[in-house]
Amino acid sequence: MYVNDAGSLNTVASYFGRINYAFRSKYLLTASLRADGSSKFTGSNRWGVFPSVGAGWVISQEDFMKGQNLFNTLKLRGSWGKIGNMSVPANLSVLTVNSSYVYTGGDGSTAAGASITTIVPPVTYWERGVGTDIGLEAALLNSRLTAEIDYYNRKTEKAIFDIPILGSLGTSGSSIVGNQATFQNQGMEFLVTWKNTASTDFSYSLSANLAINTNKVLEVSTGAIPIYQAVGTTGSNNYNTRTVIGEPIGEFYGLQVIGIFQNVGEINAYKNSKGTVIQSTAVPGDFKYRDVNDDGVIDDKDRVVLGNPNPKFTYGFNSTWNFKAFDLTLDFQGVAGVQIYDANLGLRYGTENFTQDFWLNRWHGDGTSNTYPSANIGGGLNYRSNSFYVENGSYFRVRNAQLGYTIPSSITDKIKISKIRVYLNAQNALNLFKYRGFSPEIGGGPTRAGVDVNVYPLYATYTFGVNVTF
Amino acid sequence: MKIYLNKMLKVTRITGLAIASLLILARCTDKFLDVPPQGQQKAEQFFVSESDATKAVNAIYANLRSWTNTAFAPIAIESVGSDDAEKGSDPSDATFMNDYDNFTVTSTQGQLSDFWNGQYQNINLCNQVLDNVPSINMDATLKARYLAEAKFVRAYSYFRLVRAFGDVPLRLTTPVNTSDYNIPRTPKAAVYAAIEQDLTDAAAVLPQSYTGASVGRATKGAALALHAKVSMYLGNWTDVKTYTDLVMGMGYSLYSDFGNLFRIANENCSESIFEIQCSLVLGNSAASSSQYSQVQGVRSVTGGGWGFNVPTQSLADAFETGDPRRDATIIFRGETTTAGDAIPATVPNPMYNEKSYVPFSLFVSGYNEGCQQNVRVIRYADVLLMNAEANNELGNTVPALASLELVRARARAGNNAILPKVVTTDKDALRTAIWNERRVELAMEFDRYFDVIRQGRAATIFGPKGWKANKNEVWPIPQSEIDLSVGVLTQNPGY
Repeated sequence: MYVNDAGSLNTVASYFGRINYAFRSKYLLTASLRADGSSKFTGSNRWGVFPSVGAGWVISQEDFMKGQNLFNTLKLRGSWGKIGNMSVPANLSVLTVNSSYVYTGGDGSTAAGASITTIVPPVTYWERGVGTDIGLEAALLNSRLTAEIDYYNRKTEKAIFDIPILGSLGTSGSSIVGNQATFQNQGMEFLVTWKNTASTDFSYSLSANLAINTNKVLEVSTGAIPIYQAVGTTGSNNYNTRTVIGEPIGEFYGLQVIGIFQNVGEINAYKNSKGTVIQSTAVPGDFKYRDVNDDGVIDDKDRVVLGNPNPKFTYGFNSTWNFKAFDLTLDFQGVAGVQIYDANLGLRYGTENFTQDFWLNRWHGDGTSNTYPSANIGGGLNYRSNSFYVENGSYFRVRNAQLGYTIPSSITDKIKISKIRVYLNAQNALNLFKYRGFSPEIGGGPTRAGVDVNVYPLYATYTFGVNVTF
Repeated sequence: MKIYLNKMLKVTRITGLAIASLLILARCTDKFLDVPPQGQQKAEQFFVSESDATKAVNAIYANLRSWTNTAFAPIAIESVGSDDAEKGSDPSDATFMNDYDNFTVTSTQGQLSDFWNGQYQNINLCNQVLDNVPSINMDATLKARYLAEAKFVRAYSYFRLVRAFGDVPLRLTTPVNTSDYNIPRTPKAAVYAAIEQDLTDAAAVLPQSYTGASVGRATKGAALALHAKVSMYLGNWTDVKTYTDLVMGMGYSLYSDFGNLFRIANENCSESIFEIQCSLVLGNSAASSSQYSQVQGVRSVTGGGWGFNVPTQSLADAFETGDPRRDATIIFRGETTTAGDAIPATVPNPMYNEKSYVPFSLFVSGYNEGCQQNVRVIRYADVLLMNAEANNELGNTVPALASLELVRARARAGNNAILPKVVTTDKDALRTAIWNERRVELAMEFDRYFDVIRQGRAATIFGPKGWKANKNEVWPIPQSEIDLSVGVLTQNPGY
């Protein structure tokens, strides 16, 4: 009998040092150095040394700023630092024995089977984050208005994840886990907050933030070769993400849909420049694909970049309001400039359900749809990774709304309770998005992000509560 | 001054102490950080003893039962393309199987890579044995046998690959350097040469039979019979005759009752040459893992299965009038099987494969239906028919007719009103008779599709379903392999 006794045990040792220095509250300096050793790595790559340094200049403390009363605080700061990521699988470069095989003899007996069925990278290095941040902070108008602007460049070096390897190597898992890519997120962040106490009865604060991000791959373990992943697509070799130098990590990749074949005439009329019928095996209701290289067939050479799972913009708006015994909190949040690959639409075994959206909009006869295919979405070439499955992933959400009321102390004092507050809270009450799936928040590892494979629908939570303080 | 010096000394001492203790700490932490993989054996500790060699060879056989070796992938690659079988099951379930039936499959379809990966997994397991067992200090006879067993399975896997894809990357050792990972396709002829070498080596060493737990391992007869089959695909009729003659002198015999040949009780019988051993071991799901019977079992019946790879009307019509093999090969909707199972008239398909069928009473809830059914890879009837064909091609009509008659006589089971003895001495007519006999004798045993291509009749027989010459002789290379090889692997023409 096969008993799986595998698990993981990890040990970590760290040395850490830090200096904080402030000169006349004007010049600030922080430096730290840490050395981390992890049992997950072996040999000379076991220890990682991670320095960081931060400097600040409080401009508003300078003599030349004495005369002005526009800025209450003005501060320029910059930092640079490295960190190591220990949340990676252990012993990646240690080749182990696969003992999962059970031999069954002709007499009905069983015996243990084992062999070597994996390939491991010869060395594994620490996955490191290297970040640079330059920012300006200001407080104005009696510190009622505060603002921050930051430029950042955060690199993830030697990111550890799995990539597919050639099936002909005959490994049991057809992937290899190791240091695969270096990529960067670069961008700007803005934060503006306005706080005001208008009277003893009324105060409020408003805050808005915006981040603009660009994701780019700087290095991949496979060199000039892209890292492909098939995430949730029909057919294990139907790749829908690609990671290649100079492009965003895990960008969506596949065929470009230019319409739906309405009838046999359209199929026969769809020819390349040499007059070859491009999709001769198609049937009406199938996707019509762009023959990118004009060779008269639709194949892997016609694949193009279909979208980016890394959001370009993330933004939020938070506010709190206090009026007499009432308090109100409203938090909004959103992302824009991002795409989702809806793998749920591609029927894998033909026994899954269609969404109502798909069923109502599907092609079901000449002229019924030029965007949605027929219900035969799993057949022909329709299941191939393509632009139909890629959608706008932007959303805007009322993340949290809370209205509270504090019962006047004149009443609570009598029953010897210092405070009673009742509140109504709504989480995710309002979600605005165009995406046809259930939830535009997908997640996923670096090269597998943004692909909706049975992602749970987002749910709203409504809470009524009472806070009692004795 | 003195005080100051004292202080200095103290500081130095403390510093020294600190440095020393740090060094000790660093040493301690290095030990503390040495954590081996938990519950897993390191590869460097494997392949040192005889028991490791045994386990590594056992793993080869265990993998032969796997999903990619016996279930959907072989149905797609080796069966539904033929005129004998079609997808079956519910019309909407696994519609991609139809792409293999009507030849519209494209390179990204998943069964291609499943089949490819499954065979290369076998090959890796064989190469691990062939690379590492020679240096183990162990019983020399057993060692030689283990190496021969690995060569047999490696040859079997490469044969399945070369039939399915044509030129394929030929790996005869496990890769040592990363530069060994991405290798181009080896010409078909060289792959066949490697297969033949392995089978020659294996046949020279393997025993004729085994006892007890070893029953089911590769035998000399298996290596010779597979070599005959490989030679038949190459058209080397002299070799086919040589190897089949050898097997025919080894004591194999046709099992008298064709109707019960495929039941559990008759596994590894006198007719069996090589079977993939499958079991139902209570409390051991890893041993009871085969889905070979399950995927083909009668659908919508407890103890049945998923209902894929069903016989076609064309196959049902191919049997001569009164041939008992028709009823032994096909479960008809509404019939009661000889094992006593009443098949409801309401099941979704008119016919199911009876050769993979396990009586419903043997089903144990919680285990795959029919997981105890062995996969018959080569049986003696196949050897006789290969012998008949080789003799006919070589002009030896008498032994050709004799071998053919052995197969027909067994099917006839004493009823002289059916299956008359073939007496033609015309070479072409006899060839056709042998081919027809192969079809009905080996129906639903994953032989027909590539057999017809080998015979050069695929354009005629499969053409009406969409099969095209100079394209469909082989399937497309999995797109994933081409992508990952960045063009080192090329696609087959027409795909």
